[in-house]
Amino acid sequence: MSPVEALLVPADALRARLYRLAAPWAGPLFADRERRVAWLGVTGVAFSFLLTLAVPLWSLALGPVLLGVPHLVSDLRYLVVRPGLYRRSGLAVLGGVPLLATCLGAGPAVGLLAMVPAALGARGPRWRKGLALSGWAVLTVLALGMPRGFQLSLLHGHNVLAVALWWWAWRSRHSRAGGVPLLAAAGTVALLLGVAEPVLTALGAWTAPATGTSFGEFVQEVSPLEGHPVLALRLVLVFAFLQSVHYGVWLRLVPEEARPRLAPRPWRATWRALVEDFGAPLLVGFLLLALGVLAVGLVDLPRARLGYLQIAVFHGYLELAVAALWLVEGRIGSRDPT
Amino acid sequence: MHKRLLLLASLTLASTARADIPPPNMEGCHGKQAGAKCTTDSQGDGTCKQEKCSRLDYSNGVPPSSVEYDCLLCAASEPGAATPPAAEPAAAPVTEAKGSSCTTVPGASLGLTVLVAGWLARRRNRST
Repeated sequence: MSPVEALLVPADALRARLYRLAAPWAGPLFADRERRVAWLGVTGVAFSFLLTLAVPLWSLALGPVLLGVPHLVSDLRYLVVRPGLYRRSGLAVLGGVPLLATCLGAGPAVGLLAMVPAALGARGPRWRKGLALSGWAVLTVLALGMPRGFQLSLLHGHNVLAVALWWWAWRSRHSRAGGVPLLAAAGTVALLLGVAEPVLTALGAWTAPATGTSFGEFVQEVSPLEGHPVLALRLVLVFAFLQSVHYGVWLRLVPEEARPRLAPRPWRATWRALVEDFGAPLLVGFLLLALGVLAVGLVDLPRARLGYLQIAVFHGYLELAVAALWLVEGRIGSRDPT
Repeated sequence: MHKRLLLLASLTLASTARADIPPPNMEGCHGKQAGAKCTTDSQGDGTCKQEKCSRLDYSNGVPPSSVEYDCLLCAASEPGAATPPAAEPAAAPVTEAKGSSCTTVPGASLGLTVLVAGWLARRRNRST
């Protein structure tokens, strides 16, 4: 047993005791993944909405600092590692160079270049390669022509689609989970209609000086709608809400769905699966990175958030490159998870 | 199949995860002083000038008030105009760090890259 597994023994023991206590009323959730995912999803969306109503600035400031790095790990795990893309060295190298370049200051058009080797190196018919390259060309024209609009569109759009597409992908299992996207949509509409504003006033949540940021800054960053300051604020609130939901999807729902085991597994098994996927050194690196962001956040929250965003800038382009690959190959490709 | 389509679509519309967008022509003057050479958002030559920027203040709810603050913006140089000498870079306040990439945490980014590269090599060796 590794030292980490030894550390997790007490956590597993506590978890088992809690499960036994909760079994009389929560037993079906442990045994039935479909039901568990539905409950987790609905609870997550409701919690995200309450956070947005009560502490939106804290949610915006802390979300990336606390969940950003784990979200990146999940991204890599389910989109790169499990499909085995690392075995294709040509793709890894040629696609990796522009991705690294974005992390060193290159713009969106350079990041999008990662799509080219993915499309050309994929195994598939030429017409699909042409389609993928056409997608790259369109995105590049948009990125060059209106870089700010391009970034903002992707920023907002991916939060929405993470929910809708998760539900759609596993919809055959989701006789109960339709409430998740519906609740997310209802929350979004409610925020756009201004439901949050009286609550923010009542709770005094228009400012949160300890976060080092403000709604004015977030409006400037994620919804710079000149002449529409109220709608801009509501879009910031929608972003806060859906960002939280999106973290929940990647960190909780997708892993639940992708795991072959129907019941939840012990922490030690989770750790072993992570080691199998990444190896202990890389996991330690991720852990140090996550702790580093947290440590900076304790001293300077805005710097920690910006630092995380600067580290994470590559992953959007990584995802687009992988998308081009799957578009050509017509498959996701996945090895059996542990 | 559903899973494949989900991932394909989610990848296609994935996020850049970059929300730190400063006002137009501010990024070129990051870490500089008034009078320094800079590059405008449209990639033209320019000079950093002290300006008044405005920001919406929502601290009292909606509708917001407008608050002015001092800022450095990159003003495009006129063709043929002499370019003033560049000033020494100043220490950048935290709030102006927005927009630069991997400058706050270059070690973390590069360290992570080395780790991932090492992992790739290890996995490839193991699979061959």
